[in-house]
Amino acid sequence: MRPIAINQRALRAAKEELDSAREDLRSALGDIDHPGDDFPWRDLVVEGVRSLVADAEQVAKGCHTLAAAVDDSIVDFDELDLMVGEAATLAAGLDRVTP
Amino acid sequence: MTRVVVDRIETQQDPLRFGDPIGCHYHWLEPGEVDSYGDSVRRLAAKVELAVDAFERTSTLSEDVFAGEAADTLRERATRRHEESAAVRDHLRGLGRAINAYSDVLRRHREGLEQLRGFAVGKGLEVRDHRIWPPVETLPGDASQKQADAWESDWKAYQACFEAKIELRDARRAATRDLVKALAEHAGVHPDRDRATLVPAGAQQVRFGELRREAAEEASEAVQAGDAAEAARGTVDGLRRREQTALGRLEELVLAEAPPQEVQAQAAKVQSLHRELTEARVEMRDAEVVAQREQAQANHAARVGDRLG
Repeated sequence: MRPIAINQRALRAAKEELDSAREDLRSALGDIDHPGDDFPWRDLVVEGVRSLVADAEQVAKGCHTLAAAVDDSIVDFDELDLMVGEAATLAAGLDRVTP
Repeated sequence: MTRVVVDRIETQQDPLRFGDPIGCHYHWLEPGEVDSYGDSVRRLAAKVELAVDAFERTSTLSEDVFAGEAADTLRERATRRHEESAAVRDHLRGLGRAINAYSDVLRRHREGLEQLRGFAVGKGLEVRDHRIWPPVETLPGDASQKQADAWESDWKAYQACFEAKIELRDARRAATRDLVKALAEHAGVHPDRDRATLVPAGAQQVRFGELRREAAEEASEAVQAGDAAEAARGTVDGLRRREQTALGRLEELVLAEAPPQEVQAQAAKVQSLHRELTEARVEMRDAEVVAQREQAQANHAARVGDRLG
């Protein structure tokens, strides 16, 4: 196991970029307005665009799950820091008590 | 997945024969609206680009920022997502451009029809109900030379209109080939009429036998991924219990005022267990995501197989 070095600010920035990309993407997904009136190959064109829109929805979902994974890493390391701190305080306190 | 759609308009438009009334009215969606549709697809591509960049940023978080196995797993996931989303962006861009180009084809077609109508009116042909009507078929036996000349010139004008209409239709169809090609290339959809001429041979076609085999493979992958996720959950549960026990022991040592070396050793044990637990959790979540995805793919493959089988 390699040592863990971490820069939480950079992690948070990466997470925020994922979140904001997802929001922008979601709003653009809502802007796609499939034409109702007919023209040659309309059905095929709409079919094709719909399938790519579904792919783009998956991309938005991917942003969400990856952002959540990054977020979990940030939280877990916060907890770890806290625990290490507490253990150190505890040990220091005991040092003073023992003659 | 290959989708096959027949275009009604192209099917209806086939039987134009010499002597039929010639349609000269553009009655489809305004080319400008087709153009905007293409623009909206390209705007979506631009937004997918933001996700592409975000995935890239996460995938390139440096070792200084984020190190360890959990970090490597996260970077690998981000790299995979980066590649997938870049492909989606390229396909959206490609199809959006093809739709834009197709709107020009429709625009030229509309202009051509307007000119055709103008020509017919100028030549004195009957234009009614958005159609150019053929001249009378026969002349009475006692028609004058002047009448005969007019009749002949009307038919010549009609013939010119007929040929112009066929040319317009063929030019539009030829230009449609690019759109259909883009649809096959970027979205995997195909027309089934005129397949040989309109669709590049063999592009993204899936055969029945392949679908069945794909379904069986997907099912076995889903079972394996499900097992892996179950094992990862077991690991996390075990580590969580060990961490709780170690914490309880630490508390006991402190309350019993045990020697500091012993307390410190126990605290170090708690830390190392917690670190292991953190990594096991990340692995478990990854395994669960993979299991879900494999299950969804297996379901999809099974449905496709059933439909065709």
